[in-house]
Amino acid sequence: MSLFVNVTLNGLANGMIFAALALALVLIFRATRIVNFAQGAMGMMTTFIASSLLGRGVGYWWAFLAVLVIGFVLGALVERVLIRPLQGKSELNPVIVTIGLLVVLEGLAGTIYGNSSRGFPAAYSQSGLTVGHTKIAFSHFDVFILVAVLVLMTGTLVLFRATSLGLRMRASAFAGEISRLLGVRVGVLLTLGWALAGVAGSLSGLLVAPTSSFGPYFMDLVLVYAFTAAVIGGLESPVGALIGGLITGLSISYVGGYLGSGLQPLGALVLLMVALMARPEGIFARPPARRV
Amino acid sequence: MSAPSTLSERDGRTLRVDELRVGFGGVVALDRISMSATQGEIVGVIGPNGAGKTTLFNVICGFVRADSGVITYDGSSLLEHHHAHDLTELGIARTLQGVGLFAGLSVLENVMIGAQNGLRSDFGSAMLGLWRSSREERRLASRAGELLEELGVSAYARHFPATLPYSIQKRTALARALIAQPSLLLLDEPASGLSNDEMDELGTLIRGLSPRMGVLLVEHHMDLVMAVCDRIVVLNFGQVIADGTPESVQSNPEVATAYLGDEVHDSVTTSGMSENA
Repeated sequence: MSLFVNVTLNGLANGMIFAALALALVLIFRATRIVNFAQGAMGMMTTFIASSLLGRGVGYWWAFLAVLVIGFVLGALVERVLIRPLQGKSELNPVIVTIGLLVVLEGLAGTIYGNSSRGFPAAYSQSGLTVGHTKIAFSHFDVFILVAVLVLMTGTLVLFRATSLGLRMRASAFAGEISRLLGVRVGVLLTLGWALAGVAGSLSGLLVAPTSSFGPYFMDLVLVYAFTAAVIGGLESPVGALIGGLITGLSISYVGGYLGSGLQPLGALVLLMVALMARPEGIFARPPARRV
Repeated sequence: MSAPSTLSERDGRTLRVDELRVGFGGVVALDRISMSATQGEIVGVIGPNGAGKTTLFNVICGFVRADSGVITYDGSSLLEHHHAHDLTELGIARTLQGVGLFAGLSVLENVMIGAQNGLRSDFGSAMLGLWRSSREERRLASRAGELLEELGVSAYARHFPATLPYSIQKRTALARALIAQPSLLLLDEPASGLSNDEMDELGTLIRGLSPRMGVLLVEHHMDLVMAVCDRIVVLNFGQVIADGTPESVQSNPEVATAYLGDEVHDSVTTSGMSENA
């Protein structure tokens, strides 16, 4: 029973991190129909920048905040410099560019910081909380993960559902040309979508790094899990990203807890296949577009 | 060809199209056409399928590039702006063939998005949810609600377009164009799919828009065009073959020939054109 509880709690924390990166994928896909395979690597790069800042004596929370801002700028730059020029060309081009960016960023990180793993501090203690007389596999840092991702998700939902800026972003995602006709500056909103995805990606990097082998490739597997989460959620819904993240996190945690951690990546791929076969449009897919 | 106008251009803002040519590969869609529409004037643009009516709208909106010629609105060149999002700043709004509503937005949101150009809250306040942005939201929602009320579709404000009858969707699309308070409204086949009663209501509505704005109306339903338009421009194979009052266009033999062919135009010019050419 305690194994089940601990595995569940572990899956919950991991699932929230996958949800954050899945949200980054969703923000980009819903606006530009591109899966950004470099999203994890961008989070990796900003986490290395955080590590450098911490190494130079910058306080944790200042470094945390700075890296979210850097993620915002990096996301915007990638859209404007690498993705925007490919508008109107083959759909395969931006996919190849994001894969290329993934390789370049990992190579760059390896060159600058080295390929070996290193430690990264957590915002709070990682030792398990004590409930009654029992220590559970859920730490103060896990609580922080939960809160941070929920704040990110809530902020995204409020932006989309309760502001005119969010209304414009949703309209642009549904039909860019019609939005332009109505005076919406779609290009700016696409950049903003990538920038917000950059923030979500940076946050996921900061949350994963303390609990993993922090190095140039530490986000690769997280991207696979996040992609699985995003597909389960429908690739276009922030709420779907959250639910998909939790389903993925819990599933691979159960696989790791009961079958062995080596089978977790395989478990994620099986989950992805099952999701694609059972409900290829995802749980929270938006209504199909109408011809205009 | 110089474009006559029933209103003095000094009375309002004027759309002027001069020697406009548009080609798609080897096909000439618009062949050096000239025309105008002034604020307060309802101008019909008619012609057989493929005559170039929607292409004309698409060039005005910046969706299609012109090979040569000039389009100005209130003195500003539309071809130089060439961004669709600049149109609303110039006071031009357009409805689309079909309805072109956002399937994932409610009817109210679909109308609200039409007024984005008039928003005064900036990016920062929207991101931070500051009171100025919230006030803009309420103002926008209120204006959208009033328009839906005027058009008789306020009961559907929270519905999604795909669940509603076509006529409701059409009115929503019209409300979305009107909320921007344009001085020139481009209506692309607004009567398609409407019943006769609904078409009568639409005609009354369009007449009511003048003199607040100019209306450029592309439409196949001749009863509606003849009833509401001050002036009609007839296109055929990308050329203007007639430009004048409904009566003069109706009795123009070249127009009847364009619609129905040489063999039958004589009988048509005496009995009026087909209702649904």
